[in-house]
Amino acid sequence: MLFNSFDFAIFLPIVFSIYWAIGSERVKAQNLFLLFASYFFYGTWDWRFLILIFFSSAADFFIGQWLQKSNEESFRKKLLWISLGLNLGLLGFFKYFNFFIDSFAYTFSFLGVTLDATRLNILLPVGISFYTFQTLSYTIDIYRRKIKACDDPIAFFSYVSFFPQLVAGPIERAKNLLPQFVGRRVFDYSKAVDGVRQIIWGLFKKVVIADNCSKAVNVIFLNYQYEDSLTLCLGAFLFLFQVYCDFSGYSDMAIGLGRLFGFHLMKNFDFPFFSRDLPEFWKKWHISLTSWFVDYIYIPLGGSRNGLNSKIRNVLIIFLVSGLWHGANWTFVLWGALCGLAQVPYLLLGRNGRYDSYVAQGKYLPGLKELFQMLGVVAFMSFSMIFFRSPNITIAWSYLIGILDFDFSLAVLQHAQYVLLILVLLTWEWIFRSKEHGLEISHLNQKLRWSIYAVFVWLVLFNFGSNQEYIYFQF
Amino acid sequence: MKKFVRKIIIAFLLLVAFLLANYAINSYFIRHQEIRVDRTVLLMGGSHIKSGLNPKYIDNSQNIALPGETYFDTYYKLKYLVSNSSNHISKVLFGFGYNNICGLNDDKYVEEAMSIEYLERIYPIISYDILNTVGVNKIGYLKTIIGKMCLYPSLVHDGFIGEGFHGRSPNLKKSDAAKRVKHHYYKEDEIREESRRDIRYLDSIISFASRHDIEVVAVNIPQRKEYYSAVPQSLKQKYSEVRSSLIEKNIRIIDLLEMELDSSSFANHDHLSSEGAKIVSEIVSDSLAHWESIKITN
Repeated sequence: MLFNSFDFAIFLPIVFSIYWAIGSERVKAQNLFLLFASYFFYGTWDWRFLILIFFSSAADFFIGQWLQKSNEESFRKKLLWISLGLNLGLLGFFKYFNFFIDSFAYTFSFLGVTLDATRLNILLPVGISFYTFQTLSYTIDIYRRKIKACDDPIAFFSYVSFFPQLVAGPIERAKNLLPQFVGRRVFDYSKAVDGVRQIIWGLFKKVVIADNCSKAVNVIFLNYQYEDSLTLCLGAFLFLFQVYCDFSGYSDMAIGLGRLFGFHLMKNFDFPFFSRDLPEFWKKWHISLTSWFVDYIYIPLGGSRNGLNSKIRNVLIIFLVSGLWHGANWTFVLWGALCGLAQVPYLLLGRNGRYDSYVAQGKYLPGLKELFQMLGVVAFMSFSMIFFRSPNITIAWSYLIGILDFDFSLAVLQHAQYVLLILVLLTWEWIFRSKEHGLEISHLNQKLRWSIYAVFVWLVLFNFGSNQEYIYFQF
Repeated sequence: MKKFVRKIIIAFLLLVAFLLANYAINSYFIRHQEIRVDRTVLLMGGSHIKSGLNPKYIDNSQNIALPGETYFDTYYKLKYLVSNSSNHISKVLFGFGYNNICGLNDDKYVEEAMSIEYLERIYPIISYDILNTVGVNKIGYLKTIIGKMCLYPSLVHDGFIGEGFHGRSPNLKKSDAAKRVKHHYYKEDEIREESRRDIRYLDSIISFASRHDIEVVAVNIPQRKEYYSAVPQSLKQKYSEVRSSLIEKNIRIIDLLEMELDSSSFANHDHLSSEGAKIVSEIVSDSLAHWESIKITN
């Protein structure tokens, strides 16, 4: 069930009404109902996925309990390893089994050994990478004694399966979201209204921008052998914005939905195209995943504590893991490596993390230098997206060769409307770059607000053709 | 909470009122619209006819073919035009190739994304009840009606007529015959069956035309050998049966499928370029002027 579907338009009002009708005082009943609704939501993809999420939740709930009760370090460590083994084992099996088997057989073929690699016909459960990371953070944080284990299984199961962010994040930390399940949620009018605004904003990005861009992107990537260099560049550029609007649109809807139910979910995107360098970009793009990697991989590996070499190594590791997290394909690994390597010059020059405030703060327009910096970031990320989008490395390479042919024609103009669409998006986002989301317009007068809602809703309905699956569901 | 729910309900009701008002206005416009058909010979069918028959070379003709049009669509289109057009339609040339009776046609209103593409053209002329008898994607239908009828008033709802002949550039080097054959005649590596629905509707077209004194002529547009020879044998067999039944009904067939043309005459393996369309249209015109069936095999 997609957020931008009629099914969801029926599901949401029913769940919202019953949830608040139960009443804020009856937290357990609300949680039970949310659990039921979330399992129903998830089961609409495939009911068999429910077995997996139930098993994963149950295992981590009990492991969390034992971790909490035990003071014996060796036993606690064993429990942590069991949790890691179970969660990563399930993820590895369902997501990476065929990838590793194929890679293994391919490697041996170089040595002249032919292996009869048995591939399994495995169905990848939607959102498994997201909820696996969410439950992992729970057990790791209990192990580190940063949080206490949850005593309420219903609250915990609801936390793992909370439908707004179950299938594509934001990847929430237990210390942020779990207490919200245990405690009482109160309906807050202004937050709920802003939640609706954020849902509309997310729908706009997904339905109007991402789904439209996908039309051009699909054609260009399918016919890459015949397209000229400019069109190929445009294909990569449009795909970057497709991914952004698809994924950040989903995140906006998830956060907005969370607010309707009295929850606060973390910000996942912060207008990343207004970044002056790549380190700033990664602070603003898929924030929940980046911060997860920092907390649970980068820092345990030593972070920046053991000198520059170790810092570079750790950064490269998290980018490689991030690439692999995105998909079981060498193209993603290469994409991760490319993004990681691009960080190295900044690390060597000590110029990572130099931008803390948003660009052109207090100004209407960016300076020329800032403009070129931002264009540089977009250009690099567009280039990296060739690997992200291509089905294999050979095709990615051919795509790059196609660009380097320097074969220019006016054929690119047939996609001009999509560029215009992106310019409109960027202009709008520029105005709202200091806000939480692109439709945070509570400061405007009511007539103007309602007019803006009407235009956005109309645009969504006008573009409401066939539902495109969200790109990040496959991850 | 009450304030929030009240505002949401108001917004929802305003939206529904807006949609319904547009629906009513557009329904009125559909009932009173003028049809852009002013010739007596209609060229109907899918993309093969759209890019293959240039009305410039066929007397008093108009190309109203649309990519992917099925006999089901053609039947209701013809029926609508006969009832709503002021000029008399004397002749209909319709596409008659392997793809016209292929099972792919049956999926066109069933799968959501595809259904929207086709429903956007025929929603003014085929009611939901009729579509439902052949199986229509309900969500696709609802989206089409909202998109086409409920968002803004539009004076024109004649997408089912199309924009006329579409001349294509020769572009064979970009075409992959195997890929096209796979797209048309296979579903997940399984050979598609024939479309029983469209074979039935072909009969309906013939009966309807006969009742309204319209002559029908079946035209098979030339294709590249790499394409037509790769069409599954089972479909060729079925096509041959349908062809025989047309001959039994004294329907003229202008079968140019295997006609050899230069590569510059093809836009891809199964569509003609403008140049090819000129050659073929002149042959069709000539054939119409002479009353016997022809078959050019070279």
